[in-house]
Amino acid sequence: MVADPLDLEQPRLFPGGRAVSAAWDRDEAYRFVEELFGRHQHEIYAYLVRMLRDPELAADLTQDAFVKAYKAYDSLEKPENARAWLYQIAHRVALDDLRRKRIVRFVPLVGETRNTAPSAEHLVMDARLSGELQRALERIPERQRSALLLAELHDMTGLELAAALGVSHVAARALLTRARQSLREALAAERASVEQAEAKADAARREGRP
Amino acid sequence: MSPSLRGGDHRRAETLAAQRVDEPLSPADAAWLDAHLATCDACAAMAADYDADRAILRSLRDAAPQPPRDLWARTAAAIEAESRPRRRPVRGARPARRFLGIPAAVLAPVTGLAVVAIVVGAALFNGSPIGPAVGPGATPIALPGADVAVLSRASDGSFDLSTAQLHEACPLTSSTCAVEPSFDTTKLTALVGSADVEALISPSGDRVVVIQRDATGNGGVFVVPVHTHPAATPTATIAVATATPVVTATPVATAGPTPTATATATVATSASPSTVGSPTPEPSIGASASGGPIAPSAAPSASVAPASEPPSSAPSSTPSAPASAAPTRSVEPSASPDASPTPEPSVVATPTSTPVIAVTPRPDGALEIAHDVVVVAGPASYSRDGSHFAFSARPADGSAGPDVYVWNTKETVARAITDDHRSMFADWAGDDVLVSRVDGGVPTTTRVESSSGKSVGEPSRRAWLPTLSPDGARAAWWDGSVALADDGVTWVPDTGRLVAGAWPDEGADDQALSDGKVGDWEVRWDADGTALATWVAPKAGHDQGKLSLYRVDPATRRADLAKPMLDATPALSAFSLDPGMLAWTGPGKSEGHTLQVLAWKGDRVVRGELPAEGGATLVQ
Repeated sequence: MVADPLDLEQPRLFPGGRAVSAAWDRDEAYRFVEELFGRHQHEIYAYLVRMLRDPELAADLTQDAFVKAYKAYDSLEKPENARAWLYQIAHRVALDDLRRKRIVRFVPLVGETRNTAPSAEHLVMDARLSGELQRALERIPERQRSALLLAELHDMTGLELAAALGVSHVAARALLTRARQSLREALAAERASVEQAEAKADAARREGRP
Repeated sequence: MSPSLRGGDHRRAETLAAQRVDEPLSPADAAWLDAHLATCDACAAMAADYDADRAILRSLRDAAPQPPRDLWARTAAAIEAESRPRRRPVRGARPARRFLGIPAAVLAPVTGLAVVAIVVGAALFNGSPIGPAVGPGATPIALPGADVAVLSRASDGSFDLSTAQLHEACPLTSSTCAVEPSFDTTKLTALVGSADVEALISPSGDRVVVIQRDATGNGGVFVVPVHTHPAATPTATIAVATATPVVTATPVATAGPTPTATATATVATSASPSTVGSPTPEPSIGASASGGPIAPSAAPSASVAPASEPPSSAPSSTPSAPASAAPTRSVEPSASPDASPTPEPSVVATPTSTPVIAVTPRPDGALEIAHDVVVVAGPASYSRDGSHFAFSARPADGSAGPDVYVWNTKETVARAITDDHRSMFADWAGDDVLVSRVDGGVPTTTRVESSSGKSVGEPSRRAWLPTLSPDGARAAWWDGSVALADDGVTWVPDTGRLVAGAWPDEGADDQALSDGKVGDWEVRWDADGTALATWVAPKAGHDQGKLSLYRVDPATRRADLAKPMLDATPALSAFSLDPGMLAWTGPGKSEGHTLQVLAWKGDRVVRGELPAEGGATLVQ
């Protein structure tokens, strides 16, 4: 049973069953979190923006995530797991927020660059790509979206990805697979609706001509 | 491009194709998939989609959004807030900002009450948003930058001086707003006992003068540096307490044979500041042993008994004399070989003799500038430029009434500038001071030089303890009769009223600032003369009083009593008034007292408070 670092009410249990009290050294925790922040603030923030689609909210929750990391400091057994541990915290923070709101708002990503896929087909679609992708991402379930983002944009794989998602390795793989399927379907649906809209527009234009 | 394919094989193909993106399939699965894709165009296209989608997704890598630059500052602050021991936060919600960490005990109105002295920076609102609260989660009100100093009693009875920078307060209407300045706290080891304390910040903001008033005679006036670490421990202690002028009759014969010895004592009074003001704690008396500026006061002016033997009737020097014996003795030999005649009682005979209260530097950097005198209840303040500090004090044993003392902040002594034992310091008037006395039963106020106590020739006015407006053209005072206080040597208002009016010439448009019984009061203008704050208590002593704030018409200089900005609000006596901001301690929304502020700019007035930390106990 993986300990939930965010469960502050209970004494935390580690594999091995050791109960830990919160009597860590505050200075040590602070320094550790400060260093963690320096190394990971950008990617955590980016992840939260992509998950939440709201830069300001993402900033607030990034802050929350690091504060929680500070409070849960003694739940990190090995410093080398810090990145995954941090992502797990951020992941939970994002999910909590999303579940609370149950609203997915579309906010265009800032500074998005052109698609670099080699296919000509995709180049043609470039102008609409960012919007489609965002909308498609929003359609898929949050945990799957998280898995996709972590795997593709945050270089998390295997055990690290599983830790960040708070699930077992096997479950993480399954989640990722389902996520890809979901994205594919969502993108297809998005494109279909765009095509439909364009067809309607074309028809209207044609009819409008004298 | 094609909808997901249903049907067993196609579904399996879809799943395997998706899996294959992340990791290799088992050889069996891989073989099956390849075979299926070779025969199923739709599935082949779908498999290609997975790769394409992946590429699309990865394209977002280059467009990583950037976090705000102050994110660490915000996070660090939130962590700091977390690390302070306090109640567990509510889970699930975004963490609320914490309340100000002033324990409620600090702000209790009892003996040893804590006092707030606030210095507001000269800057007015620099475009900071300020306005009435909107909504329950209202944001804090921006204040002109203020340094807050809070003198509090720790649980062991010692005093702490806590200072912080304050930029915001919570609107009174908000229940969830909170602010969190961080306090630097210094322990004031010089302050002991349960005496009433009052604290004033110097105009420069680098010192706090703490006045203890205790009927038993303990305590005095302490000057505590703010924002500094205690300097190197002083190497010597001056503990000479000088009595107020001795009243006995023995004429001083010391003038003759021991001019130097006398001068030694006297020099403390007339020495140039350079000798007296040495930062190293050389006894002021010792410093004067150089004998320089002695001549003028050589004759009958030995007012200070170095206390190798307590003068018979010198009241308050007695307790301290033994303590001072050592340093003093060490001083005298250097002064003159025949310093021994000093055992003769000294006498104050001339106006040029002014009793001196020497200074005791403490390890925590505080300077005790009066010892074994009791500071009487009444005005005490810095001169406008902060170079001098004046107060009224009398012997601890009650043998004589009060005199006005002036402390040149560069020196280590405070000097009495009156010797009639019935003078009260009222206020500064430029470089002069206003002194109130009761003459033939009539309270009168005279303007005197702060260096000598000599009257400056302005006619006395019938007024008690006036406070001057910044331009000196108006004053507020007690207009009526006074009666002897319980201590038998000071006075309290009797019948009359508090008024504000023209000064020094009598005007015809005095405004009444009080109605009903007045036991204690404080009236102050802000530095611009545009606002007038009055605090009135029905009984003497630092009880609850009522605080009011009025705008002052710049043309007529009259206070707009009809439309107060603050109207008779319950408050403790210590308040601070600066341009645009009034701060005081008063009853909070829940139990205890809180630091409250009123800030205004133009017509906009907002009121806020800094709630005390919950859970602390009141000092009762």
